[in-house]
Amino acid sequence: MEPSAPNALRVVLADDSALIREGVARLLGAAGMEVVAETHDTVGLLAAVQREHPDVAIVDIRMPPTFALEGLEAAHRIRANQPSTAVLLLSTYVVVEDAMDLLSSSSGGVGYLLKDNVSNADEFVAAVRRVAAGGTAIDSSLVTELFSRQRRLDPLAQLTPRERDVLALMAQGRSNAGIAGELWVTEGSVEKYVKSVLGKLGIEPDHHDHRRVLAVLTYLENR
Amino acid sequence: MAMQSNSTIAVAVDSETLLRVIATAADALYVVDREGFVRFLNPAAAGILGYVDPADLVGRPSHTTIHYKHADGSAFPVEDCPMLRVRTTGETLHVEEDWFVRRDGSLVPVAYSSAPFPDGDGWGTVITFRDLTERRRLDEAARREALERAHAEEVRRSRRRIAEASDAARKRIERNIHDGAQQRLIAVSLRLEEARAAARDDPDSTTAVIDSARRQLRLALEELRELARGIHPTVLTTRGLGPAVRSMARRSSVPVDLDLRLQGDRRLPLAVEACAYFVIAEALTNVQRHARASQVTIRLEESAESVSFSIVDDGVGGASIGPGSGLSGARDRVDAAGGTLVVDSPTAGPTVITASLPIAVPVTG
Repeated sequence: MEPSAPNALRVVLADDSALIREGVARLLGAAGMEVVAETHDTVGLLAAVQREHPDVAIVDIRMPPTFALEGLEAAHRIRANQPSTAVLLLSTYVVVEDAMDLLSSSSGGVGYLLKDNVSNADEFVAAVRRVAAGGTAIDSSLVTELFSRQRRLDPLAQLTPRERDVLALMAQGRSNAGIAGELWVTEGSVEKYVKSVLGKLGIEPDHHDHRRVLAVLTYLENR
Repeated sequence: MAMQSNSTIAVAVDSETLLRVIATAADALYVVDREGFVRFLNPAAAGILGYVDPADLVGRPSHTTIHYKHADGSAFPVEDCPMLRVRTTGETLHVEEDWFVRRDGSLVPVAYSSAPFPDGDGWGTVITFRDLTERRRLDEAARREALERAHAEEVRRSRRRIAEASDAARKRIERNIHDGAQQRLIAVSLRLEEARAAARDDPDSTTAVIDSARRQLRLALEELRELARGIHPTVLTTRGLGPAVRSMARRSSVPVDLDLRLQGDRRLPLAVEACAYFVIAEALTNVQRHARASQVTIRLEESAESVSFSIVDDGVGGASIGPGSGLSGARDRVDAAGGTLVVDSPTAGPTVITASLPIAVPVTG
């Protein structure tokens, strides 16, 4: 493996599966990031984070000893005690409550991804960079699940297909610039779409991307 | 007339002997005069009625002393009393079950006969009676035993159904894994083999082969995740019933209105949560498969002692707990948890399924 550049992102990996740790480490290495520590539980994770001050901790939500929400609890502690370290949680299942729990305890620098999607290297690496830069990353599968909820009188029906795309990308934590890049339109057009979508759904506009994610997800969950 | 033959017997022996006979008789006997006062009672009667000294009852009004209330404690007015009416009808009366009041106010179940006899220029009555306490106890024991036998039989049957349902579920899971994820993983393995060959002979096509393998892998992962969720959803373990039901509602093909009245983040015993979750899941599956409904409402309410829920849809109705049906499995689950489940589904609907589960699960045999 090539030596990492001096300004490479420094990452701590926590997952009780050595196979997953190895796979993710290879993928991050190939993207020019440096995995400074690997651990199989939260005790090791918290120690490594304190010792290494990494840019990002990538954490499996389900780890020993109870295999319940250990990773989420560790994420809260890291964000509270060491805000310079962003946290990206990995989960086998989409659990909306877990994602909301993570988001509402922080003002950015957090992400929630489905493990399946880690093998989408480009998207995964982009999500790692986004949270490391203080942004927010929410798995597209979670957003799809929220969108797919059937309602008899669905307020989303009043959105145009393009507006739905914009809403979904907002829910994933994309900035206006990110949405513009994804949809091949100008940032100015994105601003117009965003204004229209939020207006139609009655969501309070918020220029802070993270708060916007929370507002949009909360809306989608409760519509 | 009947009392004439009675008095004939009375004169056939001397009164001393007669009194001894009456005193020794196993059946209780007492005599009420034409005014309604107790004139005489034998030791058996005194014993049943709780009088150490029979003389304490003699001279007292019969009805208002030993017959003034019903089993439920309500008043028994003297004018309704058939026992003393014998004094006017002159006809013997047999009552298979009634209650007399003991000296301490407690009630004793009795069978009695009341027969008129001449008292001056009117009629008194001779009452013979038996204490039914023991017989009732035996009847009650027999009844309870029959009930317990029936219950035990139902428990055996329901255990068998639960075991069969569990076997069927295992078979279904095996089938799904075999037909789905396993076949896909074999396909991926073949594709990778193909990619290895392609990398050597035709590097340009390698990417396409690998992409195809990844698509298969993604589907296999999705199938495995759905299967695992069906076996036991993680969110039920980590977050509890409310979030698990919310997740279920999001995935329903029929729009679901949720009315969750939960007590904060309080967690219920895992067995109760699992029972409620799987019964709601079964009901919702039924709605999606058969009801042709446009809307379903799931209500869930917790109290200190129980969790109750209902699933109501506006579909075609006609749902029933048929043998081997999903709802039959749901009923067995609820029974095993000591709860109740009711399906009300008239033709043309609506279908209303209601259930209640105790939170403290009773220990049953």
